[in-house]
Amino acid sequence: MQRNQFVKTVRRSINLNDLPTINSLPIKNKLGNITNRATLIKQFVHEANAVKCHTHLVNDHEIAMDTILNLLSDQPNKKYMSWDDKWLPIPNFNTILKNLKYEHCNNYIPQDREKRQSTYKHLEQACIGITGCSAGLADTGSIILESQAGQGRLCSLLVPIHVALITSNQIYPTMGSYLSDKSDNVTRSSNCNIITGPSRTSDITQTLTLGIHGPGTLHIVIIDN
Amino acid sequence: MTVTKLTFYDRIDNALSHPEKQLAISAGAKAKYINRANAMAEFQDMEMTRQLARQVRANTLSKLDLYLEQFADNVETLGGKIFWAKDADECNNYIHQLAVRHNVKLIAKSKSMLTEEIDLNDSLGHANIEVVETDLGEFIVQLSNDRPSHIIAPVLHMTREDVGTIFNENLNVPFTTDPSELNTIAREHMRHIFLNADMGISGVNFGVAESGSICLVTNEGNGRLISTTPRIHVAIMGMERIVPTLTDLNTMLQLLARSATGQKLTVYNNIITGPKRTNELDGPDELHIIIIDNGRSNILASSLSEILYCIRCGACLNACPVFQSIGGHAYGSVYPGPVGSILSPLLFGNHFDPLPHASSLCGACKEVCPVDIDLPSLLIKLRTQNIQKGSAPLWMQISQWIYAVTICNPILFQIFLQLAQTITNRFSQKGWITKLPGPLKNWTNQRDFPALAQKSFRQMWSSNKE
Ligand code: SF4
Repeated sequence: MQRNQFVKTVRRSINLNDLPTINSLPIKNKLGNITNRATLIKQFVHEANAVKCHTHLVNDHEIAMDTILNLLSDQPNKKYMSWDDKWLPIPNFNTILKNLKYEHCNNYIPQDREKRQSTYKHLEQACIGITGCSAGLADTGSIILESQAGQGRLCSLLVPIHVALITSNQIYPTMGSYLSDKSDNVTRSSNCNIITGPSRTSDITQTLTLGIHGPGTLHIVIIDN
Repeated sequence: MTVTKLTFYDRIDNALSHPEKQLAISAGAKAKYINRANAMAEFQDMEMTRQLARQVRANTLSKLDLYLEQFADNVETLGGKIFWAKDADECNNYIHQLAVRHNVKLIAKSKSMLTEEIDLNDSLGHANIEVVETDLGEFIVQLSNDRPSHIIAPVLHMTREDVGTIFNENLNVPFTTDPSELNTIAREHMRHIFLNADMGISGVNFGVAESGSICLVTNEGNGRLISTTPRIHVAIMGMERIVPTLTDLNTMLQLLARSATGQKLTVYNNIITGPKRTNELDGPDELHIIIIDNGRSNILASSLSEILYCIRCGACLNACPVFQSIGGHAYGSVYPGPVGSILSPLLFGNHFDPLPHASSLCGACKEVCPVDIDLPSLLIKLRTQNIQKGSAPLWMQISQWIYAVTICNPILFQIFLQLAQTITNRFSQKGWITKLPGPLKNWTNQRDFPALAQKSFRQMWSSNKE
């Protein structure tokens, strides 16, 4: 159907129905209180744990690095996926791992069908995906991830374990407060995800199980210096 | 949508003859009802947010034409394609042609009631294109050739044993009833599909007019996978699913999660703004958004347009005592429960006219609806329309006619009252009738019927006067 025809039909329906037009919305979205940082971090950690994340509150990026190395050492192989250094709050992250003989799986996905599928095959072997965040939301324990250059979507999607790094000044009280500050960031890349806990389902007799399609384990490392 | 030949009453009898399913359904629905109530109880600004959401929906529908154009302009600027589909055929044909053009053999699909509404899988199946449902519940439904029984929880009617048997018979795995083992089986089976599919198909929870974004909401992550790994992503959106701004989207997401599952937010709120951009690493090269009417503009023009506020959270299903007893399949439509009793006759025609009568009008649905749709009033409007166009059952039309004549005529009214008094008092014990004869016994099987008073008000009045 042509666009103008479609829209014309809709317009005719609206006119027939005489729906009231509400121009200004008298009720406004609440933004949440900007309380002090310590309270905000506490709330974020509490809510993230409640949705079954593993949170690690650390004082500097060196301890953060140790935490990640610990997680990596438990894995069956040395392959991992991650965002570019530019997007991670630990300086030279990927170089450090390279020196320790970890293998970074490049997640640039080519257009060609065969190449695409062989890249996926390779990426599937990675045990851990490491990303930064654009923000954290204290009231729900959520993290917000974008997909700009160097911020692959698959790092937080294909792997069984996702580790997200966040600095404490990135935590906002609510989604409303984030949007009123940074709403352009939500749409500046093709994909923005608000992630609240690890992948889950309750489809079978309402019993909760984790890790159905996305990562079954989500670690959030909060660097508060 | 394929429509069964069975009448509504046959379908109800069917449902009631499977007590184990009935138990699974009522337990599941009640658990969901309680989860929602708990999540709402701790939501400070619940009622305010609910009214805000209602305003957003009303505002959007009253200017839907403008918002649709704004949305489409933004999507096209970002390099996405928009296709305007009048009905199911136009939509299915477009996808079919697209699939053929790109030599697509395998399609991974995330859960979407709209694609059930338009029978997309059947239409692609006829063209020998394999479509795999990736939502766990929908996957089980697909394997067992069943139909979803709930818009949020497709296998609400199944027990663990049912699922174990279905996996055992179809996937060549040992029988198990452990949900986490079943989960692992599904995960492993589905990996291959995600990584080899040439096309991903999803619905759209919300389209954002101001940015041309679409939002897909899933707990499992399949919505993210099918919109990332295949080269082409096709998203099908009912034309009413627009919100004007990202802030409005936020309002809806808060309510949707709490109403649907009792979570504060769904695990993945996946906001997609155009196809993969030049310097990005992964994501689909092509994004097609199909905006479909399929009867919605007629609803918009009618006095029942309020039903288009619906955000498909499923809360009214869980709250409905009728749904809790008969389950989703008895409704015979992809949209069951209170919302389905209104949508189904409007979208799919006369065969569904009896549905609005299957309600006690208790109002539980309106109470839980996150956009405060006045579902009982809409049900009554539909009942009235049924009587007016003569599609209500004959016994109902006759009894309504008798009632209308009687109530307008004092003498007739007296006579009938006397008659009713004598009859009900004959059957009653201590003012209650516990057993009625013939077809009326269905009523007294479940509850007692109060007998009429020994003396009517008129009789007391005239005897007092003397
Ligand atoms: S009618 Fe209301 S309660 Fe029912 S599914 Fe729609 S939004 Fe949810």
